[in-house]
Amino acid sequence: MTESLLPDEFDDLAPFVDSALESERERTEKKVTVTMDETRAFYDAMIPRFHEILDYLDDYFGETMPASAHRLYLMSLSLVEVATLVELYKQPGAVEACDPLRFVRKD
Amino acid sequence: MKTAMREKQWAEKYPELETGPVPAEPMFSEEYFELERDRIFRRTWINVGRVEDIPESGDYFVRDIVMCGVSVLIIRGSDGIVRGFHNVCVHRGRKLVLDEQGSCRGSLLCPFHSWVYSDAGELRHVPDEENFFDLDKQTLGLKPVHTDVWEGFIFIHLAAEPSETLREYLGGVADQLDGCRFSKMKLLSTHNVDVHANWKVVQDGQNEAYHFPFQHRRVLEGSFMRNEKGHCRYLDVNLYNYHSVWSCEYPPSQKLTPLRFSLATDVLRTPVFQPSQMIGKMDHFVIFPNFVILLVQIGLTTTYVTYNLWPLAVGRTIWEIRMHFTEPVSVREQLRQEYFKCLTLDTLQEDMVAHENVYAGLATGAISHVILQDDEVPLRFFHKTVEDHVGFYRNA
Ligand code: FES
Ligand SMILES: [Fe+2]
Repeated sequence: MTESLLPDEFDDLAPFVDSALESERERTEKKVTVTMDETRAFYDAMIPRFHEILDYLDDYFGETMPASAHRLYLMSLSLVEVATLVELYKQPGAVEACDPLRFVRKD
Repeated sequence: MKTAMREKQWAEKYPELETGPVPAEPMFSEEYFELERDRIFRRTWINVGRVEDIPESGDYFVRDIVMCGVSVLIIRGSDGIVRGFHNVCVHRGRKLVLDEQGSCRGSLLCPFHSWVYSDAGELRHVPDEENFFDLDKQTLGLKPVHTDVWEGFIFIHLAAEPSETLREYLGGVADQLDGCRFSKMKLLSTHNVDVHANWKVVQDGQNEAYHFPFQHRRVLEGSFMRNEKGHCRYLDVNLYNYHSVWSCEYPPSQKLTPLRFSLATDVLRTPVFQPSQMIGKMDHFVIFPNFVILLVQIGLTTTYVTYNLWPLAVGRTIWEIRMHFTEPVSVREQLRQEYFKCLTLDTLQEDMVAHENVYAGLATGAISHVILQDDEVPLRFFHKTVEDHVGFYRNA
């Protein structure tokens, strides 16, 4: 039996597991390359479950998470990064903004 | 506390600044930039980092200050003291440390001929010492750079003898922020962006809230106190000897999106951290010339963002952005911090377009002056402080 990608109760989010990206750079790269429809599909799948996801992850706070929970955490980071596009800007980036990748994370 | 909505109040508070237009030329003139090198950047205290960047003895970092053509090594000695030196070996002048940061065990070694320095900068060992002439290790050592620390912020001064101590230089800013417990907020992220604009254009572009309802109409929608006509108004403005602060209040309720709602549910369980030194909910301190401390209350806790503006050329600046948060107590809070980081970066990505296009516009020389309104008074004061140092128009 192979270990499932995501915790069982969040199995339905498996199609979006490609948003489980380890670095901020990768998350930003994905944000600027995918279409607005893809972003919205990810947002629409995650947001109704977000309370539950956070409750689930909070149980692991301060501990090392199992790989499946960690993936869910990384997907949550991606959601936090792209939610503004759906909720505030209604477009793939901030209003009249420069390329986000010009901000180079140093650490 | 209530935001004063009155118009033209800062000109009443600071009448000596007057209200006329401000010359544009200093923002794109090569000649002015050359003068700033010696008259500002070599004559003021410059922030280079924080004590938390070098927590242990032997920890160091290097700052290449391109504007002044110097490389500065900041190192914590075995005695715990933070010192600054020119990052140059006194034998034949090789740059001593090549990495941006690191840690040594008590001593630093120059790879060229293996001269060894202690972590307090003293020359400890010279191979083949007997073959030198009158070499006195006691009198040699790394060349010190004036270095001092205030509230964990490390500053250097490149003059041979600074005319003021760091404390005197900071003046009213230090009086306001003493004891603010910055060290309770830990560094989450550092970003660098290479801006095609003069450093003062970047400083100005961040130094007012007039543009919030326009340039940031979506990202900052409803975030700050405005008057009945929709214009941001400050709670207060204070000008210190060289520095300034403007402060904003938040409106009674903030725009709540589904994401914000999910993230906020445990907000009341986070430990309260609201330094009494804060003036409003967001205080934007400009510490002359190129440093900003932005204190922001989020929920019951407080965060701070710093900007260091590093001029490379008259039209190029490295903008360094660091964000600091209190220790998170839940995954929700971690994600709230990440969300704040994303919103801030989005806002700054919008600012970037303004900075670069303001510079491009000014550099055409089409306008001789910029016109400032009352809430742009920190810019008026900043440009006066710049000119007080440079004296370009004084001698003309
Ligand atoms: S230049 Fe450093 S040891 Fe010779
Ligand atoms: Fe802005």
